[in-house]
Amino acid sequence: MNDERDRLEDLNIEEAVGRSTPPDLAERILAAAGKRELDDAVTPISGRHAVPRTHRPTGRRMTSPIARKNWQGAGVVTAFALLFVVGLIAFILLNDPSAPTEQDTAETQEKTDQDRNQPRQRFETPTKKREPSSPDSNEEQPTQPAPTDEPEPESEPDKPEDVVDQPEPRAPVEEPQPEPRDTVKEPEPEPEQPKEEPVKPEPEQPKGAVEQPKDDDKTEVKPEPKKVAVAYIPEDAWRKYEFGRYSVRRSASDEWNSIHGLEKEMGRIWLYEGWQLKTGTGELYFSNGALLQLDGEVEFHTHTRGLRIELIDDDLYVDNVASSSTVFVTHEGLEVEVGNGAAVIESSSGKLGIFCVDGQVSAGGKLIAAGHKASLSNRGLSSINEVTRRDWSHPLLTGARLRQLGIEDFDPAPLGGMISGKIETRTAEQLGLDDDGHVAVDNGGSASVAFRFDGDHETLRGEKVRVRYRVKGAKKLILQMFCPARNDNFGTDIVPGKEGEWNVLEIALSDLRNRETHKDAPPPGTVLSSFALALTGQDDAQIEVDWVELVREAEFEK
Amino acid sequence: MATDHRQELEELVRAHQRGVWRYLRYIGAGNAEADDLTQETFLTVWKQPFEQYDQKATAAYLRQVAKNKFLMLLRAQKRRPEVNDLDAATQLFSEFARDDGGDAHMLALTGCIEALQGKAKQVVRIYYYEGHSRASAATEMQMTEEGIKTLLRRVKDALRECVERKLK
Repeated sequence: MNDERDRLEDLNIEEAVGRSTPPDLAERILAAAGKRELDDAVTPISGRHAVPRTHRPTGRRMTSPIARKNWQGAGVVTAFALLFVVGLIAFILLNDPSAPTEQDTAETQEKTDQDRNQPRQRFETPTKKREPSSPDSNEEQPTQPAPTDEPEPESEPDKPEDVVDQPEPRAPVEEPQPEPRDTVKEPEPEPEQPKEEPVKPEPEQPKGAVEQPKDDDKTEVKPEPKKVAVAYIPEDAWRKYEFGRYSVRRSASDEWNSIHGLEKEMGRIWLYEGWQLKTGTGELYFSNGALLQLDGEVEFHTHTRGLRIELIDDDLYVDNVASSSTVFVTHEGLEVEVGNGAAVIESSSGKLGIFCVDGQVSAGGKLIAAGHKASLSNRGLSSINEVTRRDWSHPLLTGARLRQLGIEDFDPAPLGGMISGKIETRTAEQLGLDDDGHVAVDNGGSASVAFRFDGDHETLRGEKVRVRYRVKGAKKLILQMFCPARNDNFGTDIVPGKEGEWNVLEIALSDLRNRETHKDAPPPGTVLSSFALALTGQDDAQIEVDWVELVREAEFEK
Repeated sequence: MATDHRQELEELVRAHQRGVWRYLRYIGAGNAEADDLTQETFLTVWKQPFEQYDQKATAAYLRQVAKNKFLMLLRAQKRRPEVNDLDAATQLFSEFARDDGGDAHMLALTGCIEALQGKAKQVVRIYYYEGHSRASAATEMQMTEEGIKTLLRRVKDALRECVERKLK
């Protein structure tokens, strides 16, 4: 008994942490039920292969009051009648010179049999073949439940093979149709994110394409509606919270589930159109690269001009500065357009509180600039006021995460190519991390790790560069990024960190200077094409770079 | 499928699918098998409509059908059941599942796991979420295998008490 208890507890914990969770099978079961009903409609209505009717309006069988012997008597009379007719036809045909030959008849009969059997064969599955008998006809099933804890199963009396319900007229089974492809253009991957996967829309189905029948009707349930990935939770976010921070469901009628059972792609958990998410101060990204911090519940959608998020409950912060498409935040018919801007938006009893943090947002036909706030209701936009010190202390702002614009972790090698240094593998222990990985490394008194971005990178307001590195024998470090328009570097000198230890360096791009004039910082919008971290030091000096990340922190004008 | 009947089936599935699936997993079905057998269970009862007295009786009836389906599968595959005493296991499961298929229990358990700290939390992540063996978890946590076994036992005891407290 203890073994059974242990087993149950183990399974429960596995489910609670999201490793093995019950799937939502409702759609699949309903589709299979519809298919079986359709299948019944084309099966013979009597004889050995008859399939019992599956759907009755009530729970009572209508065949039981009819005595079997009556049908047997009728069967004998019918059989004699048929025999007579067949004999008569055979006599006529044998005397008709234009009658088909025996071979023709056999071929025709074979073809007829094949045609008749065709629809049923479509639904035969390997699983069914494996089973010794059809569960529909021979399986012992329990009877109706008694109001007890565990009713004992009893055999259902076998249904006489020759007593079959007549087919009833039925509504045609609705075959699920794929939804039409959304017309929204999928956001393109940002050029400054060489390693990030673009949103993967499912391949377009040609119009009128017919789905091929599959072998197993258990898996051929319903074509997945075309999904548009609207947002994703990055790996560091879902790993950080481990359990329960985010809950997701695929529609409002589904149950909430932990995100840990969802498939990960390149470490990301993608959230699709129509899905709902709730979290307490969790961060995620829209597929256009915009950062979303959420304390509440939302539903994801696409929009003809970008992406839309229905704020069902509570607050969110969205940073959509310089993204490739607009983010619309809606709530009970109200709409806030976050174009090149960042804002905190709060829902409260049919109203939206809007606080523009950066750039500008529009609502109710008016623009709200950074440092201003307003309230939107079905009566329109309220007056626009300057924010107060208290507004800046909103929890979503004080705990605001850095928005990742791009990362290079040398696994695989930079898509733009290495300029100096080579890629080497390091164990988790060598990296001081949980997993093995790759680093870019170079040796010597003027060692440097440098690589080109996969396409030029245009800088944003509040942008920072972060680097994890380790050096040995270095006296000075120089970080610089090349600007092709000026044919010069922006950079800064750095005091090397502790010898032989991993350090994380974070520098605002506004702190970089033109390496020639030592004066100008790169203004937002500067195009940069490469990164370099170089040292000057001993002949046996070494530099290792684990990753380089470009992030944006909203600049608050407090 | 007639709309009313479809709705009845949908309501039945939505109310009981998790309980049936959990039961099938518990008595030894794999994830994919549990998916298929849950489907077969509902299709079978849909073909042979029955009166629903209450949620608990319906859940018990569905479990019985599911058990038969699973036993048929085992026979067909010449497999032996992983659970030695199916009746005792079924009784234990019905205590766990109550009348909601175990949803309340799972909700409480999730809350208890979230509240874990330190090594207890770490071992749950490594052993149950990442699926490491005890030996592998021992290496990961720099403990002996026996130490992991003891830690897991303590964590399960603590979780059991926590869940019982929450369900009271």
